[in-house]
Amino acid sequence: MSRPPVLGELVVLDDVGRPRRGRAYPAAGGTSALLLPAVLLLGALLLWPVLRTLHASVTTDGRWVGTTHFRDAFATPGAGAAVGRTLLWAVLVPAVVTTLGYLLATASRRTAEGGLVRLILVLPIALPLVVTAVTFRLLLDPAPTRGLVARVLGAVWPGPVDTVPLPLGPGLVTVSLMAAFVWAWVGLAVVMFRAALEAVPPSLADAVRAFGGNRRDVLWDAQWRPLLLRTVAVVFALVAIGANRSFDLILTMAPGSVRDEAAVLAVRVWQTSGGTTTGPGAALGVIWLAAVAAGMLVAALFIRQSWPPPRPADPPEVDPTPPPSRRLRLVTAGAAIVWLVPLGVLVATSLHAPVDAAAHGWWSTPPSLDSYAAVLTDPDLWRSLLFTLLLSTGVTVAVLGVALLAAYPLAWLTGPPAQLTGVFLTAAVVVPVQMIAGPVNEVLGAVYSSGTTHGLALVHVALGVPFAVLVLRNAFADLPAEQVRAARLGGRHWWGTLRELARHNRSAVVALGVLQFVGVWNDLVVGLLFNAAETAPLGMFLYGQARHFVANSGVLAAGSVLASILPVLLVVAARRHLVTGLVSRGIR
Amino acid sequence: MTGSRRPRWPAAVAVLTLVGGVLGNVASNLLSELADTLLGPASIAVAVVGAVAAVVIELRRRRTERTDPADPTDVVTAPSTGAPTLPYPAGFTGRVGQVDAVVTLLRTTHAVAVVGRRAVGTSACAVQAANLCRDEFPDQQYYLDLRRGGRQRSPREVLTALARILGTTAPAGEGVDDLEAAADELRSHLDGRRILLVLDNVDRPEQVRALLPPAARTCRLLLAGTPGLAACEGLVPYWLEEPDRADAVELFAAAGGAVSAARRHLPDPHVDPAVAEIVDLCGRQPRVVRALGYRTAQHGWRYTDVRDNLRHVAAAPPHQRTPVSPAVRLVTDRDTAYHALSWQARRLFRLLSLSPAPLDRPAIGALAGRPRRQVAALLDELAAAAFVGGAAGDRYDLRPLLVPYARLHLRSADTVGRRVAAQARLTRHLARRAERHAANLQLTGALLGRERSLLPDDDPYAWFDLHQDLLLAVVGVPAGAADTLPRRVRRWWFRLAVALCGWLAHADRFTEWQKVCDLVLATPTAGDRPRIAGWAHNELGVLRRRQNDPHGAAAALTLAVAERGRRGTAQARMNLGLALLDLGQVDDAVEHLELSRRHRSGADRSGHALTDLGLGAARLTRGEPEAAHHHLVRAANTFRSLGDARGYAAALANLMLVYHRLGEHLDAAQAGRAVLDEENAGPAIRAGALLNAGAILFARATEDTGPDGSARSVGVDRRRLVESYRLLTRSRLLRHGRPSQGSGRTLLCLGDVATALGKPAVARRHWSRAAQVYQEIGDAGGRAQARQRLSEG
Repeated sequence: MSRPPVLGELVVLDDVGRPRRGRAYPAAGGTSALLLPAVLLLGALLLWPVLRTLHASVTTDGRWVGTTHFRDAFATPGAGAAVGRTLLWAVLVPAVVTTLGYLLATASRRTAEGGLVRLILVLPIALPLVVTAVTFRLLLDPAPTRGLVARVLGAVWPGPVDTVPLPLGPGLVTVSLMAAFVWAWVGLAVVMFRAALEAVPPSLADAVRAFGGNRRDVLWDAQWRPLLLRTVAVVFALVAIGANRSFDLILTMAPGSVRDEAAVLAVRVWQTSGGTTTGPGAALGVIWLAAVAAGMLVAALFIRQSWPPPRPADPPEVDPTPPPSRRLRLVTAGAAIVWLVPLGVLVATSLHAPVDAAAHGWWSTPPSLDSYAAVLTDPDLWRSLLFTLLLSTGVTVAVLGVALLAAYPLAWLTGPPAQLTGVFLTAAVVVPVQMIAGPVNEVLGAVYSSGTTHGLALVHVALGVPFAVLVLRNAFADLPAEQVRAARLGGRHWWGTLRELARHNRSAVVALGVLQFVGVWNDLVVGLLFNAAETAPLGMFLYGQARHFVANSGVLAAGSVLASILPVLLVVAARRHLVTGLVSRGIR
Repeated sequence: MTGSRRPRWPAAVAVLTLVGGVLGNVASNLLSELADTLLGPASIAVAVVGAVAAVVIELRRRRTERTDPADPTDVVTAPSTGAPTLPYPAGFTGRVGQVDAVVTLLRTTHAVAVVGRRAVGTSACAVQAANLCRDEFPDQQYYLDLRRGGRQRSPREVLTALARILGTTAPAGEGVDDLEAAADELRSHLDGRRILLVLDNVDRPEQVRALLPPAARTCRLLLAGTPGLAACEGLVPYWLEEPDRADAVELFAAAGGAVSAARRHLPDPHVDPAVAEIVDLCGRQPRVVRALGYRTAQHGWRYTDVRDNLRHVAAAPPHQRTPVSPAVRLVTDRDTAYHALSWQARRLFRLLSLSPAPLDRPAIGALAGRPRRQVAALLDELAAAAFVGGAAGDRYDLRPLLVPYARLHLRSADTVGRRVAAQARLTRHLARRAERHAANLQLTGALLGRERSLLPDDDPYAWFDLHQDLLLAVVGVPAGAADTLPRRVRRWWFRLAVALCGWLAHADRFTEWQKVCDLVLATPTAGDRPRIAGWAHNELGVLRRRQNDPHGAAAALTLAVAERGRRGTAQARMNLGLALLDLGQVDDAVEHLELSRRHRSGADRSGHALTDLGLGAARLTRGEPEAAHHHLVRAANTFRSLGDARGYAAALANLMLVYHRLGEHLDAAQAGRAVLDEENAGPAIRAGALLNAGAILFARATEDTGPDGSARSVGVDRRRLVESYRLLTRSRLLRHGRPSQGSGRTLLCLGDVATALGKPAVARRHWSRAAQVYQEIGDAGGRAQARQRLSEG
């Protein structure tokens, strides 16, 4: 940068003489002020409720009762099975998703149709879980006249017709739920593995081969150890957390008659307590939290961040690996088609008149737009859509604001304080909302917000802030030194610096915004637990319609399609930002 | 070394208490039984009183013996019988010229007084002179010691003793008439007879006043005594100094030779340089030198050992513990003159050895911890006994010969705690004074330009000038000590160093400034090390910056930033920023200045203003005039409210450039007028402001068009150029030809203006001078600019 020379002479005075006493921690006051909103939110709506739950699990009306509540909770029929099912969700589903994701990611590398396949795989992530549930319920309808799977099974089943297994029956309902979940989440794994594989320097594999390594050695030394181990851990942990939140899916997809056979801890806690604080519910919640925290700690052992962050090679290395074989490409294409089937069923059902959709399969009657017409003339839907839009936008803006303010000072922490902050924020991310619903309602009641719209928004913000702070903090901390320096020199005040740094981290901010928006848009559980206002959010609206599933299936499908358009569009439009802003954090 | 071993006395005290308790119980039981059976309580009381009395008597006897020891090395020994005959000196050595001078005086005058400090050898000299001219007084030579047994005799006793010797009538009473009558009779008795009367150890003139002036024609009176005698009428004083070094060494050798069983392996003291140093360390006091020579020979001490011992004790810093050896004890015990002083005076004498330079009365009062009136009396006593001398400005110090000797006394008489306390008192006094004066430097510097009517004690320049040796020495004294300074001294010592550096920096005395900083860095300071070293590095950095060495400055200031704790980095960081600005690393400079601003305490307004000033300059260099304007306006406001004329003027001088860059020419002109109106700004800042004003005028004159886009008349440009040249010339004159960035820039500008005015020869002269200046300060870029103009013009 060339600057015009200064005319004349600049007169400065140096500071000599007796030592002056300055400030030890110059930014302490400002830092505290910046952290204050986040601390207030997390403290009031996360930390205190967790402590209150811990307290409630061992007391009754303030009296110490020891382990009574735990014993009561386990004495109720089906509790043990629920715990077992929860563990199954937490282990089996992530394992399947991780394996499948890795296979599909390797199979779709460097092929012409790979991008399309990945797009198809990614689409379900954006769908609300309620919509996923509706889709699979349509697909797995037990009546062969309506359900595609039942019809296919009936055609190929070798035994008598009444022995055909029912996918939504008591025996298989959990498997069906897990399948739906895998369908929805495998795209995430594919995207992350793909990003990870691209970050692996190809020269590493060459080096392993040059030292006489076979394919197994290449996989082990050039992929697994440097990068994949951590990616697998991250994917596994993310999916485990997601599986933790399979509440929406179970609630909507499992028919009321088999809900007890499908219930996991989240459902049990909700069934026990609802939106209040009860001893047995708190006991179940504590067990659940302990399990989640233990799992996170184990995962954290593998997700340790490497330092300094890997730099992209300049110029980018050309990967000499050949594209996958034709058979693999066929498998990939098959997977894409399989992944499209549920979506197709949903769209097809929505394109039928309500009566046709309720009585016949979508393949047996001609299409019509009657369902859409019925949905679009429903004023409740419009109200719900508008309400959800406003809520999502407001919450997203609030979360971004609070998280940016908090992440800015936290980014300059190093050493043990930084690790401690990371652990605390991670713990805040994984706290299940069903567990703390009662105490949160108490807190909201104390500020006269219980059951109101802004109370709902507050809970959304409090649940979204930890993850946003975590991501933004890492993003700020990972900025190259020269960018930080330029921002510091350019801005006269801290907010100028912050704006400059946020501009450098646009991907992370955009990704967080989209995720937060989509998260609130797709939400069911928070609305279920905290909303008492007249207007229901979209998730609640769909869930309410799903109660009379068969009668409503056409309208429901149409509503689901309408509800999915915005999140899908957002995710597809921002997918590059999502990958660079979030996934690049995950592969390190 | 000391202090690492655990003391054993607690254990010893415990054991002794136990044993003593048991024995005491047994003894008291026995006594009570005895008292019951055999003796009455009264007899026990009598026995106890008797025992106590015996102890007291024995102690007093020993004390009197000690005050009047029979020293084998005494030259003059009065006859034990008390006979008034002139004794023969035993082993008198050296001082040939002095004795001859006394003899010569005796031949021509009636009464001669050999005066000098006590124990300097007046008695020996007088007796030796009397012996040398024994033959000239065939009638009789009488000798009378006026301080026999350590007691001064009254005038009447003197006359009585003389009357008894000569067979005249003793005075009848104490009255003046009686004394006069007795003296007259004495004179008439002596008249015409060739008699030599030697009166030794005359302490007061009153003792002999009745005998003066001696009217007898052939009789001679030889007195030996204190300097007070010199004021007496009717006698000729002869001032006896301490022996010179050769004589003292001779004395030492002679005393050693007098030992019957002297060790043979000792080298010849006449040629051993250690001996010369030993006698100097003893203040060349004959009695002490002789005693030490005798003992050294007797015990076979090596001269170098004795020398090292004495030297170590005399030279070690006062807060260090040193063992007191037998040699030191011997030397201090034999100082008769010292022991003749009152204990207060003795203490003051010892304490004065702590000061490395002359002290004024308030400082002496602080050193001794005594009120001024008492100090005056004590100083009179010490001056009368020739312990202290005077210096300019009503200051006093020990006679240089006696300084090591006084240190030896200090070591043996005062504990470490007392020495440190005195040192701390002196340092505190000086630090407070220096701080007060250093704070006034800025203000009075401005005042003095107009009126020099300050009292000497209120004039900081005069005070610092007068006491600079003392201050430099006090700051430098403990450097290189093995032990760290005691905490109570350290604090004041550091404040003194800071205040002193404030003066040195104000007076631009770079060499001494650097010396003080180096001294401070070399001094062990234990726990205060980070603070003190950080300060010193900061000062060194600023010093190097002012000496046009920004690289050295940056290095020193980086050290300073690293040394200071987290609370103290703002100062050094700011200076580091300025050094980096000099180096052209503008981004780093801004970063450090910003950090410094954040680390400043909110109450440190002047510090904030300084940082803002630096930030304004850096931002302007970085090409951000708006930000620079913000900082400089804030700095100017703060400086103004603090009453700091220099800072205010500096901020305005920079603001001129900012306004010019922003195109606000009216504001620039007003800022320029304000800064030139500021009388107390100091020459450097005025020079900078003049340069800025001249450069701005020149830039405006050479602009193609006016602010409204219209072409201006040539006359306006010409007037501006002339005015610019005038301002720049004033700026150059204010710099006194001292090479700096500013003077180089001024010369370059002057050359440019001269070219525009059509005077190429003048311009070339300025440019070549600029090239020379840049060469001197080692600025390659500036030199290249000057060269380029020279080659183009």
